[in-house]
Amino acid sequence: MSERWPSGRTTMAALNNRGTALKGLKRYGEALARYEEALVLSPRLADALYNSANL
Amino acid sequence: MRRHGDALVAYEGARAIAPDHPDADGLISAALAVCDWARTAPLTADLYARIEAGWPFTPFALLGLCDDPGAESQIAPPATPPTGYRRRLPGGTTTDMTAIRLAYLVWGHFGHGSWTAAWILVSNATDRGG
Repeated sequence: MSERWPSGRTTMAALNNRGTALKGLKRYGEALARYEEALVLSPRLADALYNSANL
Repeated sequence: MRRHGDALVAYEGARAIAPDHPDADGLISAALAVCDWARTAPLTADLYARIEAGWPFTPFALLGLCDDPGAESQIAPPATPPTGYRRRLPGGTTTDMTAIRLAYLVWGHFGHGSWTAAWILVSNATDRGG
């Protein structure tokens, strides 16, 4: 989870998906961190906002 | 994670961007969780319109918002199988769906699968119904 990813939409989606995967593993703190990273890159990424709210 | 305040802020931001998102009504549930009636009042009127348009909503959350039987009956059918219906199960048995309906309600009430609901479903599958 520590490697760097290139910037761009794929990165945001990947971070969001990682958050969802971590949520599925019940690693909620890490999931929230991934969602928040995605939102730093794209504050208007609705999926990440909803996902962070759902935690 | 019981981050109700953060959740409310995130839901409001998300709804401003994507109001038709499947999770949009999570704002109402989050507001209910902290008894924020000032937030729920305007959302309830909007929710009626969404239910009328066919949007799914959690029956138990709606019970905390209104006593309108019309709205309740409109969202209940998708959440529970109909009464008087017998479904054939693997092995040739049938069920009147009562236990499965109960399991659905338990499942919905806790917002996720539970051992109780799973036990009801499994025990129903072994019930020798007519």
